[in-house]
Amino acid sequence: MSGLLNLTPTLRIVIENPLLGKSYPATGELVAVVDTGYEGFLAVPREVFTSLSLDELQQEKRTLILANGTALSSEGAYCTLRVPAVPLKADGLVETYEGLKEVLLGVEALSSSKVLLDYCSRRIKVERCP
Amino acid sequence: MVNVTISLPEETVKKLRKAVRELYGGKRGALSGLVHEAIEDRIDALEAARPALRFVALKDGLNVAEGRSLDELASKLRALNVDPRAVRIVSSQPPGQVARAGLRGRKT
Repeated sequence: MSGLLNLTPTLRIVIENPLLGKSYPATGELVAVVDTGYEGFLAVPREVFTSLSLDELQQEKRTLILANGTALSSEGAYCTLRVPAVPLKADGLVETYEGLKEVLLGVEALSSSKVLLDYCSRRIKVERCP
Repeated sequence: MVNVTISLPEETVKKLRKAVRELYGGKRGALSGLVHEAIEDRIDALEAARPALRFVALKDGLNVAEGRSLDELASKLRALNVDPRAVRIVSSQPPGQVARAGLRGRKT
């Protein structure tokens, strides 16, 4: 389905804001890092958040706790995630916070999927739950 | 163990026998073992409860529209001529107020 980058599992995804008719990237897919320690749906850098016009929607705010115990504020809005290779489509809260430089796919986004991390063949396989 | 007679498409049986040969070298009981494992996986997946998600658009605390997906909600808001920027979208499964950011999360 997608591969491992330096042993880090990644998936190729598309993010859509159906409320305002925006999609990121505009063509093709982007690489998201699968972070099973992240309890949310999807976290994106500020520029991706703005490209999707999510900053124009009313924001949901909450606190995220980093691995070192530091708390930070995040803001988010609901979006659609697509993983074309599965294919998988799910709606959830896409959030952003200061300093985030990569797209993180959390466990909530994978909560309706079977995920197989195969380090023998350097692959991650994702299937939708029946 | 109980013997059960089932009917499967010929192509499926071919694939099943091939998988058993490749995975288990055709060991005795391997075919039943693989079918048993597949059925258990399927039953576990069916039994895992996944509550249906709903999205609601609220304006001044009132429900303007709702949908089983954001696509459906967006269509309803368009039909009602409601600007999505003017409503608060909430989910039937709201995210927790505090969550772990994971090992990749960092603050500059």
